[in-house]
Amino acid sequence: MTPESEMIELPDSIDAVYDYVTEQRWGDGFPVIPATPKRVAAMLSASARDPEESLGIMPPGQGSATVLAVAINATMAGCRPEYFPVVTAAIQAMCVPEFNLYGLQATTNPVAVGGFVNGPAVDALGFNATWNCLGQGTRSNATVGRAIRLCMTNIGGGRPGDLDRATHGQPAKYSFFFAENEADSPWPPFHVGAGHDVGDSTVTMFANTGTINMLEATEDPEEMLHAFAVTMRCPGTNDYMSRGGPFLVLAPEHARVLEGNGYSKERVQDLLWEKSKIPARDFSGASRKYWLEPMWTDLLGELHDDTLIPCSESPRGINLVVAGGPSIHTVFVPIFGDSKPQTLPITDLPR
Amino acid sequence: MIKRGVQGVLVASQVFEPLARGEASAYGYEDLKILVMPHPFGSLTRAEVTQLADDLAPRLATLVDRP
Repeated sequence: MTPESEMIELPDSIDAVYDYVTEQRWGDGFPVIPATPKRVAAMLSASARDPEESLGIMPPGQGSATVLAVAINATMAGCRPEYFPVVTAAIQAMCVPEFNLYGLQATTNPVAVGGFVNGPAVDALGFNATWNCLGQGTRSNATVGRAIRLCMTNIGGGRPGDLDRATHGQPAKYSFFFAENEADSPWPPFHVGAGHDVGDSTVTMFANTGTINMLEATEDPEEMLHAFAVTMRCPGTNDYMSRGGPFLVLAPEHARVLEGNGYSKERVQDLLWEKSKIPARDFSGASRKYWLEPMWTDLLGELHDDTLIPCSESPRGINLVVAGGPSIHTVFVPIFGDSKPQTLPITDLPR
Repeated sequence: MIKRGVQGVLVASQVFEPLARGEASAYGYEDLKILVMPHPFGSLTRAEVTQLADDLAPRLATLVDRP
């Protein structure tokens, strides 16, 4: 697709647009909002950037993510114009080489791109950080995540079966975007740990392979972290195969239990890292030969049956985010591994 | 394909053949010849890769353009 130069004339019908976008494989299977010149202009007006500015090159199709191309996809996804600076920051974050967009677009792994917002933008733009924040029902969460996927498809060329080689994929490839619940978190917000000021608005992008819920009613922090760590011990995840590190989306109630008992984020990371290690004997011979030995020998030395494999290179590689509504569910999010999460400021608000 | 005096043949495993063709096209090399080999490839050991390369060398030679 070369949206900079193409203007498509279609009947004035939502069905005709849906059919055409489906035929062109520009969509995700769901109906799209027609990207009319008026709507795209409104989207562009929400950003201070030049429409021809490139936010980066999106592999594997090597398309240039111009602000205009991203605006067209954000329009199709149903974004309100005020969300657009979040989308542009997300695309920029994904184009950082260490994010390895090529790898996660073209792999057979089911990896999806996830993201979350921190700072004043959460409330200003109506992102959901509480009830069902990883699920359906909030326009900003749903459409920003969807816009990111449409950019990966139409600018990056990641179409299933073609350049997107995923064996199964996963539902989060439609959309996976939320906000940290800073108001209900007892700890400093995630973006502060990533080097930003607490008053900054940021977007964090990460490559994940699904979500696993962890129901835990204990108010004993040691018991809680033990239960979480045991759940994290999945030999088939890329955390162990590719040096992690996973995300935990902690329920505010769980975070308060931990903090109330004197557990800082760092102490939680330290304990989870130690307790979630898996002995090499629990991996298949093929996994040890093809993945663990090439990945870990430089850090752990020669691997033996009782060598403990961690879920990330260091405790700080376990990423802790507080989000969700009341109750006692924390979500374990295994990671793609060969991709470093990126936190970028949302900077291109209109002048 | 010869560019700047250097022979170029793209080697891809079977599962990634469409990706290889798409990637070649994205860079403007639609005519780039591609040697397709068995999958998986990324998880092979160094010794296995060496053996595979020896096995594939005759087919690779047929894809090289003559100057």
